[in-house]
Amino acid sequence: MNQPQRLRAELPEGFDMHKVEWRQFTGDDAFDYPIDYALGVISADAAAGRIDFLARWAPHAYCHYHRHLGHTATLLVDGEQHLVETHGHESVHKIRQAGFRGTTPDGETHMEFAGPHGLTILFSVYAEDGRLFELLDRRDQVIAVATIDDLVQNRLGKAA
Amino acid sequence: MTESQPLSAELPANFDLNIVQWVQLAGSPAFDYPIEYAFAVLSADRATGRLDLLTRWAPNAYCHFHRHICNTSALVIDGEQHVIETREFETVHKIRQPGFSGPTPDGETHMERAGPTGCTMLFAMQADDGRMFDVLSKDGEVLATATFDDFVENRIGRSKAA
Repeated sequence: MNQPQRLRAELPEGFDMHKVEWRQFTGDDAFDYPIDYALGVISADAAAGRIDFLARWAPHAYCHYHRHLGHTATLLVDGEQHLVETHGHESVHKIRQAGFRGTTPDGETHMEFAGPHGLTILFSVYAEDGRLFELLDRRDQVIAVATIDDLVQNRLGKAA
Repeated sequence: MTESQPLSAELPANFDLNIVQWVQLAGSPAFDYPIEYAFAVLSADRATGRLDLLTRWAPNAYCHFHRHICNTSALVIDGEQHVIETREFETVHKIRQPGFSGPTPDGETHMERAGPTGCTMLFAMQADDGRMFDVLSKDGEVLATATFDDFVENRIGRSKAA
């Protein structure tokens, strides 16, 4: 587990969303839920364990089921975010609107999908060892680990 | 706010739910959601402020919108519990099945209802000042405060929440 740092997800002033270089991901037969999202790196300092990146979901689409590693601050830029966490005898469904700010603890595991108009989120992450997410199967087995280097060097989607 | 203490909600061994004497509460035109639930005091200790309260909801029915104002531990005995918390920019909907047990933080405010087959729960509560819930309007205004004495002396439903 990484030590939390004081983080705040903030888009740079005058930031132009149209200039983001998005890397698109979609599902395949290995996943029984509709996957359609994209990632765009805003800034990164791998040596410091820091990365800020945007994630964009198509309407009603999911990203891969995942576990957050490191300490993450989020800003919901546009649309509606749905998070579903399941533990033992409880499931928790969080529905967040544009303007929401919060943190995601190291180790939180969830399904994440967009509302009817899609979703855009800025994630600001501190991951001391560079590991950002574990992608999981339905039985919580780790399929792949996404690192800061993977996002910066555009390796995701090739290995996962 | 009450100081947190470790609480555990547990039914006594071999407890027979069929012999519980329930106090029934229902809504009124003042509330725009379907209210139908009942409670029964399982045990009460005025010296420590500890009250164990069984609560039973009809299928898909709510209790009054409320804020917990004491130290509370909950156990889902039967059915399905839905807890809905609404904050600026975020709604959190918790769905709990029988066997769930966990604390409810002092100050937590939520709508609470049963699933399609109803819900039965045990709440273990401890309040130094005897205050257990604020019953709220949709705007968050306090309509009534339910206390240890209200439950023990069976005053709820006559002068308070209903």
